[in-house]
Amino acid sequence: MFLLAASYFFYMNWEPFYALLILTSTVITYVCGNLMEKYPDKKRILLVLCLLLNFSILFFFKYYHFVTDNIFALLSYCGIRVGFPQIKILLPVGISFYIFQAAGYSIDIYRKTIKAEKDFFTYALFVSFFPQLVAGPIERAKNLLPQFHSFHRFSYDNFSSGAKMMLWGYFLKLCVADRLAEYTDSVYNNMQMHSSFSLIVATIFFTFQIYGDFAGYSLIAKGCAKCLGYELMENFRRPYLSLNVKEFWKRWHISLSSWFQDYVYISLGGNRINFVRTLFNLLITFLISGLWHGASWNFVMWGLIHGVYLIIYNVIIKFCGSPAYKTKTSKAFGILITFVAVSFAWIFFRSDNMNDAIYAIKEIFAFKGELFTGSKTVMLLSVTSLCILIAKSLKDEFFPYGISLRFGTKKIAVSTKILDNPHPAVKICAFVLLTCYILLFGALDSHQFIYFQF
Amino acid sequence: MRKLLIYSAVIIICTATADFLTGRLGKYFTEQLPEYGDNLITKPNYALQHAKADILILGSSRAEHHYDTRIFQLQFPDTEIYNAGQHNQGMNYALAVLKSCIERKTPKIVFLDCEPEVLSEEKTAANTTLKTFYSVNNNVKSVLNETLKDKIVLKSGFYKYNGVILKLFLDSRLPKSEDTLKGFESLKGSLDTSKLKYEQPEFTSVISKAEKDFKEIISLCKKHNIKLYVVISPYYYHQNEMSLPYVRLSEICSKKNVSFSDYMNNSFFDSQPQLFHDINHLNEKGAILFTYRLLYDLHLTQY
Repeated sequence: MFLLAASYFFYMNWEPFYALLILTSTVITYVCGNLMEKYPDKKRILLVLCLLLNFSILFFFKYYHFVTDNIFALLSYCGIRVGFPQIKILLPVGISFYIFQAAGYSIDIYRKTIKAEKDFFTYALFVSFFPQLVAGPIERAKNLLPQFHSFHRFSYDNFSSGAKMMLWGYFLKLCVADRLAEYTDSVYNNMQMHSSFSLIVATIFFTFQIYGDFAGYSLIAKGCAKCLGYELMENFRRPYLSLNVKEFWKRWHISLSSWFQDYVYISLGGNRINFVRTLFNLLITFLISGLWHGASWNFVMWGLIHGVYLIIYNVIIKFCGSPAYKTKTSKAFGILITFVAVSFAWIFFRSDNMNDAIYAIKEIFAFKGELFTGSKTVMLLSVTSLCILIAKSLKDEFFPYGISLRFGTKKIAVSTKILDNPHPAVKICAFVLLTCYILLFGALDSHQFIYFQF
Repeated sequence: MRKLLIYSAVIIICTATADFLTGRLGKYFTEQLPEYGDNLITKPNYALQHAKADILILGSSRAEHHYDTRIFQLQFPDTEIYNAGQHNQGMNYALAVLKSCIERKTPKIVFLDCEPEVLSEEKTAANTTLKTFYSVNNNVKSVLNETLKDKIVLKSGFYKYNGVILKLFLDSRLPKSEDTLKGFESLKGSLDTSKLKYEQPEFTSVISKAEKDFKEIISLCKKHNIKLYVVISPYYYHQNEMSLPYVRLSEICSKKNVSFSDYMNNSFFDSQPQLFHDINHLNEKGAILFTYRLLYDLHLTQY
């Protein structure tokens, strides 16, 4: 009850009225879930009703203007004048996250993967659990609900490991994402003033900015829950070290991509049907994923591009076989190609609209002009933080436990763990240094999390 | 639990020590800064710590780039002029500079360049350049010490020198130089209207702290018999004359009997893209024309 009250208090701090939306979605899915279990013969219609009501809330608050504006434009093009009511709507923070979490719960009950939760307050906590309420990870009921039924005693190990996650999350957000944002914002907000090279650098920076921003938030959420004794799912696993786009989607926003895989892609037939239909399903899934991110054509385009990447990848696999990535060079090449492809797609994500994205791409491929460096101190801080991030990612990917050094005939194993180092002095020093670095070089004055808007 | 308490205590003590040392180091570097300078640290240092002027120009980057001190000097040959306009700063910065300048020499004229939305965008302690000078300037202290939270966080060395400690160190080693343009910085190049894209943001609220600082500037000028001119210099794009912050700004000026000159939708400037560097800033040619025009309109050929 305390956690539930804390979660609602947390959300109501932003806009008290919108807590009613979470409550509505909670009541709908709770009632429908229990009815589905009680009346199995009517569960299909109950599921449809439950999803329809939930997605209506999402549609109204997130997509109303997008849909009406586009219908209006289309009808005007055909010479038909129709007026839609103009309503001022403030997008509720995290609406896409909790609606999807609640919808996933209903589908799981329909598929009999889980049993319906009988205790309303426990279920309400599942939908509104404050660490992951506003920007995920989108949790699964079978992972989180059982945790609410068990008593959680304070544990040093949980607290310590949660604090480490939160600290690294703050580093990603304040030192990487918000520092890089100073450059990307100044370039992308005034594209007409900047050259091709500035746009290229800004795009690469944005690639890391969005990772730092979102992976940072996910780690803070996961760490916060861990301190309280709860285990949330992993949301990012060094996505920019993926060898191909398919692997990228297994490492990027894992909770959402697995949600789409389980509830959309598989529901459409997945890969159990013919090859062409599988590709079509992929495309549809990614188009919806794009639209999930924002009610704008540039987000749809971003989804489409990733869908096309995956189609190309699947076609290559089908006709040429899986790449072996046997040599280091082939691995490096795979990582580079994936990074470039993903960065290109981010242009659509970062731009305010389609026109801006097209303008940015045209400017980038003009390859002209001088590189804008902005404030040299900010640039230095951004690049230093970026280097720390890259070094840690490479260490975690390729030397997760340690390295062995050879001195003559002797082999010595050296631990590469820093915050988790078995030696307390190293662990404390690392913790203090990272804290000081964040406080001294992080951008303490700025930006909201990018994914809060979704 | 005991382990956690010991580790936490060690971490807190080490971090607090580092914070204290950073504060001392930051203060030392700030005191070592050269007198003149035109970058994001050395210019505020001059404005807050050393500037003496008969004619003082205050405002944001638009003040810095729009008021050509060479034209002022031609009009007023035997007077000291300083353009203290500073990139991305609000009303509290102008107030701190004015207070500091008055302590050294009372200006005769002050030009306060305002953006129409200046009363809706007060910089907080976190995002103003002022916090770097908190330990060395009492006027900055009085301007920033508004809330209990400000008072607490500004005790922290990390907070005051966040993101600038390295720059302070490098700038403290800069050689002495002379500021020939008296704080003015001209911008080159002209606006390419073919690439122009602008959506005007809506400013609907007035921040009471910004309004309070603005009123304090007016009363300080009255108290010290300083002639204050509030000016909105030209923009290339059309500004909303009905926005609440703008209406409040003009209301306060009229109520307090302060000269208010508005060039924001001036037909002479906004029809000539060649006078602009970008949509918000005049280029050198534009700044010269604007400065002449302003002095002419205000009949300021002599005191």
